[in-house]
Amino acid sequence: MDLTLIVVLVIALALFFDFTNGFHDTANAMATPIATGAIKPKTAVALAAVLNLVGAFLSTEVATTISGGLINEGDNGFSIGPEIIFAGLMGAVVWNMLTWLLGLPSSSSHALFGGLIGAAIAGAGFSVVNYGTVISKVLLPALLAPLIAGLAAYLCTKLAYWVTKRPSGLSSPKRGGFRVGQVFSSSLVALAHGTNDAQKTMGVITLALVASGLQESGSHVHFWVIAACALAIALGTYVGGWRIIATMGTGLTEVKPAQGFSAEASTAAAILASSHLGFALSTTQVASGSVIGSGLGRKGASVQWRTAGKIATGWLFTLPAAAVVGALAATLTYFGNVGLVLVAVIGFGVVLLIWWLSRKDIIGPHNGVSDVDEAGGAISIPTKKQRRKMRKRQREAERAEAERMARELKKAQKNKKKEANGKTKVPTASGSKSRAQEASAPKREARGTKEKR
Amino acid sequence: MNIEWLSFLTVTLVTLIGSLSLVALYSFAVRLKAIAEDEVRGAGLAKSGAVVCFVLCGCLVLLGIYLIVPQLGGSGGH
Repeated sequence: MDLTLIVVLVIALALFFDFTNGFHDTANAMATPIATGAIKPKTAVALAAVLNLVGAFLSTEVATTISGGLINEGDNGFSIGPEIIFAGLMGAVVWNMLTWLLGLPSSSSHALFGGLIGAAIAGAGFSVVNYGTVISKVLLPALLAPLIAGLAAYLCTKLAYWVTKRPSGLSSPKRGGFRVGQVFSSSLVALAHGTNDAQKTMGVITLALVASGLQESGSHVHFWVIAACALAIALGTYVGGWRIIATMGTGLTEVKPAQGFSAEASTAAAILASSHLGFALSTTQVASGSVIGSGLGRKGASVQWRTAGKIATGWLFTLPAAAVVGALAATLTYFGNVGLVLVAVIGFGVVLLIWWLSRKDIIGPHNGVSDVDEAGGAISIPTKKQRRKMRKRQREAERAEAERMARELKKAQKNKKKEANGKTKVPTASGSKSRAQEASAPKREARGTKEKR
Repeated sequence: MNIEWLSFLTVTLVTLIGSLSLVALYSFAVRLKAIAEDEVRGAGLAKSGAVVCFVLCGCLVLLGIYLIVPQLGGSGGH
């Protein structure tokens, strides 16, 4: 098989991956302003597509991380060929489509890295992967970035509510300005998405070009690669828009404009800063971290650990699972051209099958709603009415407690008097005292929890 | 193995400072706009304050993008 044909195949598959990435993530950026009615769905989708396109041109740091640092070079050039990259990409695409169909939370970026790493190991042994770069530029950012974004979003939400709080009774806080602000913050998220996610594809294509000797190792990303990736992700974003519009009625997590604005500002800041330093992270995970953080910043919020745990498990699972698929595909390439054809045929077959299956049950909440929205479900925020009810219940409980204590004290005093008339004074008196102390302890505790809330 | 802890610190600080200042400016703008809408006295001042905050907010975003794009001469963490 000609060397250039396999390169063309890799490029086509990489661009397809880029397209699905844009397709998958439109909702992350634009769902909230559409839900609050700040912007018309069609305008929002077009805006997101254009900003993804622009974002892809802004930087190439992440692409350099992938093309230059992830895979070790052998003594005479690259030790892996483009067919290994093809196998890795196929693993990523298949895993991505599968999780999308099943509605499992997963990250396209981790699927991509998992597929590539798995294929490289299966194809050329464990020494071929540069684990230092994998840990410092992929795994650690993947863990830290959502936490950083979450912390920022938490503080931002607190700040936004504190600044816009006005004395109650005088006038309503009027936080309507944030609704319009969300159009801009969402746009920033779309831009950031373009800078980080489109670059991953650029990195893979460059890696394939270097591996097949068409480009020198360590050189810059070609302009046509940037342009092609930018177009693919923009097209995917635009085409993916119909899914948001279709799922508008199926219950997005309620996000208040001020909260959404804070979350999106944090997401955009975290992704843009990471992209600039060449960290390849999952935009979906960062956005999810922000949504959870900003939810916690609201009054009386609490974490639903089960939902949060389910999301976290999905994240942990993605990289190794995609690695296994990638490794299997790479093993097939040992059979030479026949194996390569097999990988291509099986891969495209699975993708087509999944596509056909997904058409059949058009859209349900399981595959229509974005992962970020699912992350919103990890926080429960009581409404004003619920909060008032909770406070009322607490007051009642406290009053009951106080009454009980008063009764107890009276009883104790009565006992004391009785005992004072009798002979044994000291032991029972101290006993009643400690009982009174016991009774006051739960009250103190109750007050403590209230203050915490 | 060479883990760039300094880069993580940079990302953390940039994210926190960037998002907090953006949200602070926008929140002040929203609050001033709300004041301008329901107070007769000093409404003009509040309104111009809101506009200033909105403009600063936009400038902050543009500055962030300027620092990221290498072609524009920004060179942030490098």
